[in-house]
Amino acid sequence: MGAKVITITSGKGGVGKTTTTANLGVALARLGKKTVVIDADIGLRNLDVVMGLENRIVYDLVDVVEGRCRLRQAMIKHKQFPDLYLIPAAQTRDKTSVSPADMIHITDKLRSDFDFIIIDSPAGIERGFRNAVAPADEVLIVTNPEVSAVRDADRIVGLLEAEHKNPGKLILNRLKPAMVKKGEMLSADDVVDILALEIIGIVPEDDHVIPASNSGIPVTLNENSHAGVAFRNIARRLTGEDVALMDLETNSGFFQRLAKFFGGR
Amino acid sequence: MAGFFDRMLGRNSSNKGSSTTAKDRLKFVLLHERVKIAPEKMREMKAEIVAVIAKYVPGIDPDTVDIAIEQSDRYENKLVAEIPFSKTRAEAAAESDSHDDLSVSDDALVEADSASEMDADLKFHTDETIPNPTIQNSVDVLDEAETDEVDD
Ligand SMILES: Nc1ncnc2c1ncn2[C@@H]1O[C@H](COP(=O)(O)OP(=O)(O)OP(=O)(O)O)[C@@H](O)[C@H]1O
Ligand SMILES: [Mg+2]
Repeated sequence: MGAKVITITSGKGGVGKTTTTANLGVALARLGKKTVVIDADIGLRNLDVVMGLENRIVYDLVDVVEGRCRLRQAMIKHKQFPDLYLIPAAQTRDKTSVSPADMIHITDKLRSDFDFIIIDSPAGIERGFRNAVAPADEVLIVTNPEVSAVRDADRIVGLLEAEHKNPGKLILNRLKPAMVKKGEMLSADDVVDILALEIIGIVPEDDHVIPASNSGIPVTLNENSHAGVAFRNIARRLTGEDVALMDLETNSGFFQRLAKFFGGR
Repeated sequence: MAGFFDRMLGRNSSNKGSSTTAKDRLKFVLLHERVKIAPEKMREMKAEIVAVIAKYVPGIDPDTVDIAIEQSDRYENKLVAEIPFSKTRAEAAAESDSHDDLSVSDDALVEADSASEMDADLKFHTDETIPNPTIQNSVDVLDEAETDEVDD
């Protein structure tokens, strides 16, 4: 029945939800999927700048909810990827201007015309989180290999249960393989073991990410970026393709890893 | 045992950096948050359980009692109690003689005697919340204590 609605959430703030949403949107559009990304972080609009679309906003999500415009009027079409649209958040309002029922209503109107609807959730576990998660067919929980982020991710798992949602899938962002190797950072295995969730992607810490958001060109368009490749792999997995997890998802080169793998410890 | 990612990253499984501490701390805090039993409540419960068992079983040292929640996955919780109690040397020797299924060598017997200690594992399952603990498994418990003693 048309689009799959995927919500990107985390509990803890600043772990990479907006970065993930922007990159998955672009990567899916590049795979030829008709995609809308929705910024549900009302009052702290950000997805627009990360995607380089901030100058084109006329109407926003709250305008749609309050009937000041039609849904189509609030959808900004990406110039480079005509299959990609953004619905921006309102900047001058708060989370209570939108209800979970509004989000379900809006996504239901979009489902028949799109393949993917990706929702960028605000941090926290309050109203904004519930708005973002209400219409989700699938929830992706972004976390970092760090105690507070993992703990908050576990809270989200519990809340999804309470909302009778499918268990989320995990995106581990900002992993530093060199630190993992030294035993100074939780590994992907550790985090999967602790949270008991399926993992759908490992995104390394990558110096290309900040320049990408500086210029409003998502990092997945940078062919030299490991994080970019990782986001592309997640997008492919979302389309049902079977992409092995470790390929290119760490900082170390493939041959380096091979050498380690065969050359013993 | 090193996991798949660890091996791919060449991480030494004997490595005990701060990540091991992070993992242990997270496991402990999440365990208690998931079952909604604070560590302090566990301590209270432990004291009460020990008091009850001590009425029937002599030689219990509360400091050696360990009662903890174990979680195989998010939905399967287990309260695992390890409650060692001491016996006098004569009692232990007399009991060992009467057990035909325990064919222990003389050397091992001496060791077991000098340790003069026996662990009983009380295991009961919980589902989200902990029901009133019943000790109806006590027969199984003693059998288990005889067989998996070697680990410790
Ligand atoms: N893989 C990465 N490598 C390096 N920097 C990253 C990576 N992922 C995210 N960042 C940086 O981390 C910061 C926070 O990212 P982002 O805004 O996507 O998080 P968020 O979860 O949406 O935050 P909030 O909770 O405030 O909405 C940004 O500066 C971003 O550039
Ligand atoms: Mg954000």
